[in-house]
Amino acid sequence: MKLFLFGIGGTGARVLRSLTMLLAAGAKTPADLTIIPILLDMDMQNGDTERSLRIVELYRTIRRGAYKDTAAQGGQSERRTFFATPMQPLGTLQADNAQERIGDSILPKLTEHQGTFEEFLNVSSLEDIDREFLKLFYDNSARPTSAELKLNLSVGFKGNPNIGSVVFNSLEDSAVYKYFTGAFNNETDRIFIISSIFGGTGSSGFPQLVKLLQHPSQKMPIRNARKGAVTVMPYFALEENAGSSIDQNRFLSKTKAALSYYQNQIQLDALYYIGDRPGAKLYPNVEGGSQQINNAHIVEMLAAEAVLNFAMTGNDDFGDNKRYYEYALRRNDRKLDLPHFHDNTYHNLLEPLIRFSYATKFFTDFVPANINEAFAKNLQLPQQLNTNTFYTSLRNFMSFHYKEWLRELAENDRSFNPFDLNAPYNSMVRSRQIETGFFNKGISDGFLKEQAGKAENTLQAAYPQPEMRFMQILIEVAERCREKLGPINRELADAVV
Amino acid sequence: MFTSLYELWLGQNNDPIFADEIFTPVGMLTLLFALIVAAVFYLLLGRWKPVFDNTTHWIITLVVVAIFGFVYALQYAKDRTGADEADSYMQGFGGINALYAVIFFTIFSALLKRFSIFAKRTPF
Repeated sequence: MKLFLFGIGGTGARVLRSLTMLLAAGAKTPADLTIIPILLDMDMQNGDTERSLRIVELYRTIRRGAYKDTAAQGGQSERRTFFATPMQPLGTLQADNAQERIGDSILPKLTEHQGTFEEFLNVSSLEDIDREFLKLFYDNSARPTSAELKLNLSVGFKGNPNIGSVVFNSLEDSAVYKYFTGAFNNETDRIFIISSIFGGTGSSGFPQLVKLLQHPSQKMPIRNARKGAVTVMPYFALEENAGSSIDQNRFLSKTKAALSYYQNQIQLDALYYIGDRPGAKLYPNVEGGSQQINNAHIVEMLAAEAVLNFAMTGNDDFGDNKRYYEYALRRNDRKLDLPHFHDNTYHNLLEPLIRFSYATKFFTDFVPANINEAFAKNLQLPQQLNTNTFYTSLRNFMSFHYKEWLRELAENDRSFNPFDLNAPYNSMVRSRQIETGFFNKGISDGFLKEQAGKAENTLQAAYPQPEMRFMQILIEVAERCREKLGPINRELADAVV
Repeated sequence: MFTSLYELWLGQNNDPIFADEIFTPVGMLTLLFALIVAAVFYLLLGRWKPVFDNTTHWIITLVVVAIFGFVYALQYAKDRTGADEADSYMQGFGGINALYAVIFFTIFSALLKRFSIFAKRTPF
């Protein structure tokens, strides 16, 4: 099953970032799932988007090196836990009747237009009366921060859905959408849309895209496909910035207006809503571009869970009526740990994250320090660790992206801080310390050497390719560490006042 | 075989007891000892846990094997000849036996290390 995943605007990119982390960790997905991420954003230089692009590219590079058959799972004898689900850019799919190639980026160009909104509308060629009429809808004052017609679209819609909806109205004619329709041929494939409701790009692109997908002129597989979406409501507050055209005071009113529109106009099989009371941490008020690079937030991770929940829902479980989902924690604390989440999230997401965190610590701390051990030499790590693309990508992913993602989640408000990757292995998972004694050192260097050595020895024949063998070792070592950790007490401790 | 191996370095001793009763059993036991120690290093410890598997450990083992070779040869020669003190021939015999113990252990290491898990790449 292919899941065509539209991520619209900065929120779409940030949720995709969290989703990629969850998939890397081995979050539960259908065995035959392939995700086709498609980021829709006018702001091609957006920091959040650019970071997501890099992460997905690393994910794909690692996955290509890690597994024998890089197609979706199913009937495979090799164990696939980390980086298990294929992620494939739209442009790499076979598309019928596609007039134009769109490249293999997950951020295809939405439009060739570069310039102001006024130029996009071709205002200069309008009749005077039409031009005056247009000014009724858009601010055309001389103030550079709020003159909507003068907004440069290359950094997105700056929180103005009234502009975005006009631009997205021409989505049907875009090369990316045409390619999508050509590539969507299987009735089992599904469509999911990630967007925010309080910004500019997501809140305008989402209804337009849904309208387009439901239009009678669309081919049957698209119209009949199971469709879902996660709508991210306000969950952060911005710093005051008089120079910015993004007005956070309008977040809630825009959300309310959009929700009432969605109630009647958005027909999907499943609609997930998520949001949060903004915390004390203020985000920089940046209109767009490379400067817009927001820290990861738990809401984004849970929005990513919505994608997986939708993919996991059986075809018969959807029913005829559209379903609405909301998310609740077990307790409304500002600092979250593993026990704060209900069973589904814990088993499908957090258990994999525990294993992946062990794997990360093993790969980034233990392996370089034990490069002369037999298992490392057999894998040619002394020569390959710093030169081979697979290992450098894996290190890049784990050291610079996964650890950073965890750090950002921990430092945000609300904070999600389940792991301390700088602590010894025995206290890495905050909610459970591994007991040690004279005969039991818990997860020690000796334990890791033993597990890695035995796994490497056992897997040699089945995985002659060192990179593939290394991935299996990583999975095995993480599994043994998880066993050593033992059961986690998921009872919530008394809240700290 | 062992007689010629030792006499290659030491020359023939006037006392035929070295050729008839000392060289072969000392050589055999040294060979067997080197084999057992290599088996313990690579097959027992080397497959059990990563506790004694690196090059430093291997050099320590090598030194132990060499000391055993020297002491055992010297003591055996003294016992069989009934001498109170070890003469220079016996000391030379101990030294050469230590050298052969090192060579045997190195050869067995090369043969057995592939069957190990943790000492697979020790010492080379």
